[in-house]
Amino acid sequence: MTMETRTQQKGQLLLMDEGVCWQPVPGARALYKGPRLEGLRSGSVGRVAELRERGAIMDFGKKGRWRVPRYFLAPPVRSGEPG
Amino acid sequence: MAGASVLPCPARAVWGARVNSPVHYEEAQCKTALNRVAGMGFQWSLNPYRGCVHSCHYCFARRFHGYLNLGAGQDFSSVITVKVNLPEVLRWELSAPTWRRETVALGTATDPYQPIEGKYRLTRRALEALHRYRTPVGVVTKGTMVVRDVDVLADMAAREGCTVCFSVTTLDHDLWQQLEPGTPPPWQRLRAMERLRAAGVNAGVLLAPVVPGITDSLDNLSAVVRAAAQHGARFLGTQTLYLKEGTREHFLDFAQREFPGAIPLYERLYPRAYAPRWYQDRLGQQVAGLKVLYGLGDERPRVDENRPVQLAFP
Repeated sequence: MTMETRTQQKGQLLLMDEGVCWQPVPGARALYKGPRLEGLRSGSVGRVAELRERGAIMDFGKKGRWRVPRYFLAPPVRSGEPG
Repeated sequence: MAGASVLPCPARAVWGARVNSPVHYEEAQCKTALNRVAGMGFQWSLNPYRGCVHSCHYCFARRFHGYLNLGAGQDFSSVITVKVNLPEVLRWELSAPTWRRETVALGTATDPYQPIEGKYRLTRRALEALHRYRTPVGVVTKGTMVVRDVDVLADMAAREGCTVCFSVTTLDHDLWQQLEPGTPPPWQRLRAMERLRAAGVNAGVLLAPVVPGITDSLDNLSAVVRAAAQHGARFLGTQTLYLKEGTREHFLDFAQREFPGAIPLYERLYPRAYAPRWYQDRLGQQVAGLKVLYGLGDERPRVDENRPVQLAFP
């Protein structure tokens, strides 16, 4: 599955000149790619519980619910998929 | 010039930077104290000194030393003009009936709390004059001597308004010594900010300038934002490096010497004085995101209240 088809299913990819900012949608799984915090580390995968203007409330299960800015969210890559 | 003196640079002696050339302090009489500013968030600026022993290699004010027929390199940090009559001239300007008490910014072209301020006290006397004439001020500094004036700043904060911005570009010891060899350590600046906040002063951090390829890593940015939040910063702003003629030659020479691997990046990012819009946008988004994650804003990052708060770091 390519990046394009995956994001068509779960969100919209906003391309900038350099770098990519992912647009999450409620219910989608998303990967946290920000700095390590107490209780949440980079690479954690959660579900988008609620969209906010600049990010989302993410449900990380046992790790709790966090406000995560969109910049630090990315679509999760399944094993075997190109990164 | 009214007089000149040669003193060893106290900042360099105290903080142990590698440059140890003597500093020439030249006393001068200024004709005006306030400079009209256009297109900024303030209307006037005030600089008690010209040149700065803090010696930040990226400082945009280096090029202004050319107006005195001095170089933007070593001269900027070793020939310092002291405007000894500035407080008197300022009082005269503030007493004019036409003075509208618009915001005055201190530290736009030189640090108002560089070490020689301990001797001349020009910044303190300027603040006292501004307070007397109920004029709001904004101060930008890396100098920890600002805590000496916490009494005046707190009074100003309670009446006409006062904002103090502490410039912190990195918390990495090596990067700090390379980029800002004459400045107090960044963690001391954060402690100074904490003191001011405790006194009721509106104080925060300017994560500026962000130096591409050198201080723009996520680790560096998040360390500064996290420390700012932990030390009670009221706000945090950022901007990217500005490379205009004068500063540009000096900085690229420095980068060629100390960070040669970053030179291709600068050739790409800086055909002009500003970094491209996409870079500034990306940086803005990243820092805005970090502010949310570290609780530097109105909202707390952790939504569920029953769990430990996010600000308690390991």
